[in-house]
Amino acid sequence: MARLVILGAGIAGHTAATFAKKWLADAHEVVVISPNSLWNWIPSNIWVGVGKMDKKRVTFPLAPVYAKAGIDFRQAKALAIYPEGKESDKHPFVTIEYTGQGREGQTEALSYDYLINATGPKLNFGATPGLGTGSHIGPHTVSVCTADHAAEAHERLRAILDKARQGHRQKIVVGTGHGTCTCHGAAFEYALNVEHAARQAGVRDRVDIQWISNEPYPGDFGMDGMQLGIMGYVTSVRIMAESLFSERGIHWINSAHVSKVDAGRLEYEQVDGTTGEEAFDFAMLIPPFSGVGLKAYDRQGTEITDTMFLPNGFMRVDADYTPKPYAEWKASDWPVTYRNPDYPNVFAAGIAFAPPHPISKPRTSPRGTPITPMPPRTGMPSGTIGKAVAHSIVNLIREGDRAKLHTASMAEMGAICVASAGTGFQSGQAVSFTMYPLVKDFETYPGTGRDTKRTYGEIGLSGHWIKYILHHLFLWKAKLKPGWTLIPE
Amino acid sequence: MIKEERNFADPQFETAMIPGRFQRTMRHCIVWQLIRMVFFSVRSIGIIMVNLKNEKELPST
Repeated sequence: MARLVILGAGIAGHTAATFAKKWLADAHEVVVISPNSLWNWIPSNIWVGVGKMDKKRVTFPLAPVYAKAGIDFRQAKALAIYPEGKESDKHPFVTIEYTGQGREGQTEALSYDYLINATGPKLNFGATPGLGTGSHIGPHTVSVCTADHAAEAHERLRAILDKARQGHRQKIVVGTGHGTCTCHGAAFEYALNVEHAARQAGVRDRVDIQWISNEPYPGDFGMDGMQLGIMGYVTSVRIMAESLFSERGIHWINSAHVSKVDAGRLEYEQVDGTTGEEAFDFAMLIPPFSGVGLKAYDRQGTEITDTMFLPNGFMRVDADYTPKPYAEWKASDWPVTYRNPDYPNVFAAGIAFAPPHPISKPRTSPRGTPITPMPPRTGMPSGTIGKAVAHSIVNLIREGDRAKLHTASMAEMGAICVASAGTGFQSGQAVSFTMYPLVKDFETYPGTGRDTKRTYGEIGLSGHWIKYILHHLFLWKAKLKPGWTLIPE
Repeated sequence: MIKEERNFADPQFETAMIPGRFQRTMRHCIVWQLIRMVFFSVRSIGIIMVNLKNEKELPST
């Protein structure tokens, strides 16, 4: 009996675990390690952050779902990987520290035959002075990265809107809190939803909303923008994003690295070297992401973290990590099977794998501050990669060295993205995008790097309906309710 | 000034497009939006099919 251990129960980890268990049934063991007791449908945190949903509607307890599926769930955080085992026992293992299940603080060594690192990111608030400490958010700003953060954001937003109702002018800043942030879509959605909430509260004329981001322009989204084929034209998503902001009176500051946050004030540096500061009454700033800080050791106990992971803490996989200039980046640099090159029984999925380079053009300020959006790999790509990795491992368990590995290159993967611009069955709106491929491929698509017949976007009420349907569909799938395997990633 | 001209009053907004009355109505017209939802769903199924088609199998060694 083989044991597959999966570190993390986010979109990638949960998808990998549930499919692996379905395919392997009781013949083999699937173990999931996650420090969280709840699964969170993160795309709907936006609605928690404006009070349109509560935390219970975007989360559910993992333990009963895993118990029903026959998956061994350990509520614990992974500490270190020993991919060669130890001198005394050469079987590879991970060390974990429990965070729940009545075993808080206890540590354990858990052996594995195959390992998937799907830990997701560390929310690195500590990278910006004043934004927070380590992975803990500070008191000056809010975030929507977790359901708890989003619930806190709603409480503070409500207070701001109450003050506006009393006639006090309020300033809201939304965006990214560091020059190397990713996940711009979440911040973009939140800015539009906050504006919608202020309008619904009847206080829009007393609330100033400011967008601040490390993107070169609104709509870059860490993907070097998109060129959308719409109604016979090919147009930049920049026009669409700027139009959405203009229509709503939201001003933007781009190419900005937030360098310091204080109570009610932030400082920033732009890529041309200019500096500035913004006062705020309420700020939602997405933190930069890094790896969760897993360590790795060889058989002798010597640390090999630098071998298994890049300096940013994300795991090396089958990508081409050779440093090269933007002009030489290729679609083929991106990983295909997500297998660690040194340890063939170790894979990484979702945010945990190290991308070979950004997708957007890297830029540095005259002071040497990198101001480059990092590539998004959440949602649909995470699920797709998680499923492909599970498929590969199931093949390896069944067929050994003759097995075939499944591919899920982001350079050959399309994505569907629905960005909410406000809720309401009749008053809601969302921007619906499709794009192909996620990573630009100028060899196949020399014009824009993407297929403009498949890269498309529009705004309307239907987008809100789609996002609402997807919310229920993906929670249904994650809870393994009847027909869950038929719902695509 | 009609609403769709409002952006030209602000230098940061002047390259953007603000929807006029017709566009705003269509964005919330239930019948039109049902049609758009079907259209977008078909496009989405196309993306899912391409992803399935592009998932290849490689030798493990």
